[in-house]
Amino acid sequence: MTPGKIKEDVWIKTFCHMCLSACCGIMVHRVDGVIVGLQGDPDNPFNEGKVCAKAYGQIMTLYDPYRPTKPLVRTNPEKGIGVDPKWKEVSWEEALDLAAKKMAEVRKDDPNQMMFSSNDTTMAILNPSTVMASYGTLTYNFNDPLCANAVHPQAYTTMASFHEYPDYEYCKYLVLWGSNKGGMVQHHGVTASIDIANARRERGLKIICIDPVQTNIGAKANEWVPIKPGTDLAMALAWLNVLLNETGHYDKEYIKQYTNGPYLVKEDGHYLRDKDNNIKPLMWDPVEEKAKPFDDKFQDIAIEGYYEVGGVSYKTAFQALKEHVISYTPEWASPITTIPAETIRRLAREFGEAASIGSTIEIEGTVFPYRPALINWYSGISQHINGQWTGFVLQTICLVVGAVNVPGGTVGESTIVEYPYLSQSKYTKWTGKHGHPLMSEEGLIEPSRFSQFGGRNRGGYPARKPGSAGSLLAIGWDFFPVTFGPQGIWPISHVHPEIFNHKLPQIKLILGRHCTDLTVNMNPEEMAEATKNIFRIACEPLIDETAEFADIFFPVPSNLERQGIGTELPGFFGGTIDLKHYCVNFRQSVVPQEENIGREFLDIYGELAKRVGFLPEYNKAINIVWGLPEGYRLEENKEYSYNEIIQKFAEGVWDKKLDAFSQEGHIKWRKSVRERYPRLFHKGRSPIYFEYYIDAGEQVANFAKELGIEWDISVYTALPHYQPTVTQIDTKPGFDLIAIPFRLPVLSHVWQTLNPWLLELSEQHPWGMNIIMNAATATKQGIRNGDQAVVEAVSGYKQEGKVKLTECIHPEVVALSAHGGHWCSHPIGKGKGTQMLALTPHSLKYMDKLHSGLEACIRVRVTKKTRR
Amino acid sequence: MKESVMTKVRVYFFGGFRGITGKGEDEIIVPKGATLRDFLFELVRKYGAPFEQLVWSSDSKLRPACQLFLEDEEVSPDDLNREVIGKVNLFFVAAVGGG
Repeated sequence: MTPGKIKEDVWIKTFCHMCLSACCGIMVHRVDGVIVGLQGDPDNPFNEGKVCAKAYGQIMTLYDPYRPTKPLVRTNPEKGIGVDPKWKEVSWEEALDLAAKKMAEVRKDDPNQMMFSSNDTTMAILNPSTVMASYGTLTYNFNDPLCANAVHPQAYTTMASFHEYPDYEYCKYLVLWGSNKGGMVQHHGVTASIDIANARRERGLKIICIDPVQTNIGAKANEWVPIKPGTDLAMALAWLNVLLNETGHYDKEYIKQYTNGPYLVKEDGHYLRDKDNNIKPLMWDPVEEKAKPFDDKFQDIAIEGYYEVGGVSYKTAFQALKEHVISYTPEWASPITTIPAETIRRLAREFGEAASIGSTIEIEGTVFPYRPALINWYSGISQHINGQWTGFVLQTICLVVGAVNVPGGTVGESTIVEYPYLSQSKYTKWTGKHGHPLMSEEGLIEPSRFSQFGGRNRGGYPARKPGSAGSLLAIGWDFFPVTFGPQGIWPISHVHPEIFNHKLPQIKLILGRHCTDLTVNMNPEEMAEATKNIFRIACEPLIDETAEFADIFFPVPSNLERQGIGTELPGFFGGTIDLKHYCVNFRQSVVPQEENIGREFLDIYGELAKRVGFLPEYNKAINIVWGLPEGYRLEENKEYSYNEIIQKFAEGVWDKKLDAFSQEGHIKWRKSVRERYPRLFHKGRSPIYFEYYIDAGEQVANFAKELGIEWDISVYTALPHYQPTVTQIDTKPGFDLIAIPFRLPVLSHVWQTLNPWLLELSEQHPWGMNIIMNAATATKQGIRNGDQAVVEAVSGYKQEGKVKLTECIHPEVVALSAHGGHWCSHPIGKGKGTQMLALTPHSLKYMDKLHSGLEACIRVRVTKKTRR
Repeated sequence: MKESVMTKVRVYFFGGFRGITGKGEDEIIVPKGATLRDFLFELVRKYGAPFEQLVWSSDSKLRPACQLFLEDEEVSPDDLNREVIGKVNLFFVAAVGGG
C-alpha cells in the first residue's frame, strides 16, 4: 500500500469493553476500511491514553474467521456437550420468523416462561428492563453467580453507593484483601494501576495483600499474607477485636457522628426506640444523662458503656460490638487462617496507626478527617458462602477507624452525584440535591435514587418486605431481603428446581445476549443436562459453549462494531472509576456500517416485537425505561432502529448530539469535593450493628415455612459470628487441598481464550493454562513441575492439566484457571487449560444465604497422571 | 340515593403484570376522586392474589420493583393518595443487577 493510493485514513473514538466495565477510551486506526491500529485515548480520564493487551485483542475477534456471518438454525435436536448442532445457515427473514413464532407461543401461554439471560454490562439495566417490561416476563438471569455479589450490599448499606474505590491520592496503607485491584485489569480500567504506581512513587504507599495466592498486585506488595481460602472472616473478626479491645484504635468522633454505634440496644438485640412512635432509636447524652431520639439535640453522645433508662440497663451498639468480638482473638483465628497470631495482631496495629485518627486535611476549603488507611476487598471475599458477612466486617474495620468516604479512605463512587448534564429527562429528578443519600426513619444512610439507577431499595437496607407466599417472586427478592440482586437463584433452580419446591416458573425459552450460563456457572455438565430441553435464541458475536446449545443463532456486532453509551448512568459498572472525574463513554462501530456482520440486539428484539405483535409495548417500554423526555419519545406503532433510539437517548438524556458524542468519545466532568469525599455532606449513619437483620431473618423463616422450603436463617444476626466456609465442611478423607480459581490480567471473560492473541499470551504466562501447586506440597506427593495431574473434587468432578509449581501459593491450595477448558467447537481455545468451575456442583450448600452468590472453592485431591 | 360519579382509567401492564393479567391493557372504572391506592386495590380485586403479590409487600407498601406512572410521570410510592386520572402505566420489573 502506498500513501498515494490511500483513500481513507481515519481514527475513530470508541471504548474498550473487554472487561466487565466500559472504562477505557480507545482510538482505532482505519485505513481503507481495514483496522490497522489501536491506542488509548489520552483525553479519557479512565485510562489516560493507556490500554492493556485485551484492547488490542479485540481486533482479532473483529476479524475472527470463525464468526458466523448469517443466522443459524440448529438441525440436530439432540443437545449435549460435544454434540454437533449441525447448523444450517438461514436468511434473517427465516430466522426472525422462527424466533418470533416461538416467542409468541410462549408469551401466549405464560410470558414468565421466557427468561432473558444477559450479562452485557454496558446495557445491564436498559436491555433487561426493556425486554422484561415489553414481553411481560419476570425472569431474568444476569448469569454471574460468582461475580462480586457481596460487594454491592455492603457498599450500598454503609456508603449508599454501588461500588467503592480506594482514595489512592491520599491513602498511605492499602490492604488488598481478596482484591487484585491494580493488578487485575477488570472493570477498574487501567486507572487503578496508574494510581497505585503514582501513589507508591510519590507517597510511598504501603500495600498489604491478603490472598491465598500471590496475585499480580500481591507480587508487588510490601507484604503478602497467604491466608487459607474462605477463612477471611476469622481474621477480620480478630483484626477488629485487636483494634477495639487491644490497641484502642477507633475514631470516637466518627463513630459518634456517622455510625449507629451510639444507638442503645435491648437484650433481644433490637434498638431501644422512642416511646411515642417506636421508630427512632435512642442515644445517650452523657451531659444531660438521658436517652433521646437520635435526631434530637445532644450536648455529647455516648458510644461506650451501659445506661439506665426506665430502670433497665442498656448498652450502646458499639459496646455490644466490642464485647461481641472479644472472644475472636488472634490466637483463636490463627489455626483457622494459618496466619500467625502475631502477624494478625501486628497488621491490625499497623492499620490502626496508619489511619492517623484525629488528623485532618483541608481540601478545596473544607477541613476533612484524614484517614489514610483502608481495606479494599473483592471477589476473593465475595466468592465464599460467608462472603457478605466477611465484607461487612472488613467495612466495619474501615468504619471504626473513620476511613469511609473521607480523604485517604475507601470512597463510594456514587454516594453523591451532582451531575449537571441531565437537564430534561427523568434522571434530572435524581441528580443535584436529589443525588445525595437519604436517611431512613432510623437515621441510617439510604442510597439516592440515582445511586440505585432508578430502582428502589436495591441495596438491602431497609430489608425488603416479602409478598405473601405462593408468588413466584418469593424465590428471587424475598429470600434475600438484605442484599442486592440475588444471582445464584437461577443456576441453582435450573439444576435443582426441587430446592425451591418448584415454585419458580418452568423456563421454556431463553433469550440470550451475552448469555454465559454454560461457562460461568458451576459444573457445565449439570447445567447442560438441566437446560438441554429449553429452546434457546442466542444473540452473540461468536459461538461459545452457551451459544452452541442454541436453537436459533443471530450474529450481533463484536465489541468494535457496537454502538451505544458505555455506562448507562455515571456510577454504574465503572462509570466513575476515577478519583477526580465522572465520565460516560460512547462507542461506535469502527468498521463501515455496511461491513458490520451482525445486527444490534435491540434491532433484532425490536423486529421480533413487531412480528410477535407487541411493538407498542416495546416502544412504550423504551420510553419509560430509557427515560426519554418529551420530544424524544418513540411513537407507539412506529418502527425505530437502534441507531435512532441511541440518537434520542444521547440528545434527550445526555443533551449531546450523536455526532458530537462520537467525535469526543465521551462526556466527562470534574467531581466536586462533595462527590469525592461525601461523608461530611449527608446525615445518614452507616451501620456497624445490623439490627434489621434480626427481623429480616424471621421474615425469611416465616416465608420459607409457608412455602414448605427448608432455609437456613442462622446468618441473620445483628452482629457477625464466625461461619466456616464450605471447604471446611464439605470434605472427605484424603481431600486435603482446596481448589480456587484464578484469572490472568489479560483475560476477563471466559470467551477471551477464544481469541488467538490473548490465548497466546496466557499460554506463555507461567500460570496461564496450568494447575498451580505449592512446590513443597507437591514434592511431598511426588509431583514435579510439568507433570500431568488430575484434580479430583469432593463432588466427583475432575480436571486434568499440567502442573506448575510455585512458592507463591498457600501450601493447602491448588489454583486452576477460570478461563480455560473450552469444549465448544471454536478451534482456538478448545481443550486448552482447565476450568475451575467445572469442579463445583450447583448446590444450596455452596450458596451464601445472605446474598445468593455461589462458592468458588472446593476440596480436592491431586494425583499425578504421567511424567512429562 | 345519590348516584356517585364514576371515571374511566386506562391502565397498561408491563413486565410481570402482563403475565399475571394475560393482557397488555385494561379499563377500570372507579369513583371520581379515587386515589391511586384505591385504583390499585380495584385492580387487586379484579385480578386476585397473584396481582396483589406484585403490588404490595407484607407491610402494605408498594413493592420496590413495582413502578407506577400516571400520565407518563412516575409516581413516588409515598404519593399514592394522588387522584387517579387518565392513563396509568404499571411496571413490574424484577431485580436487575450484577457487578
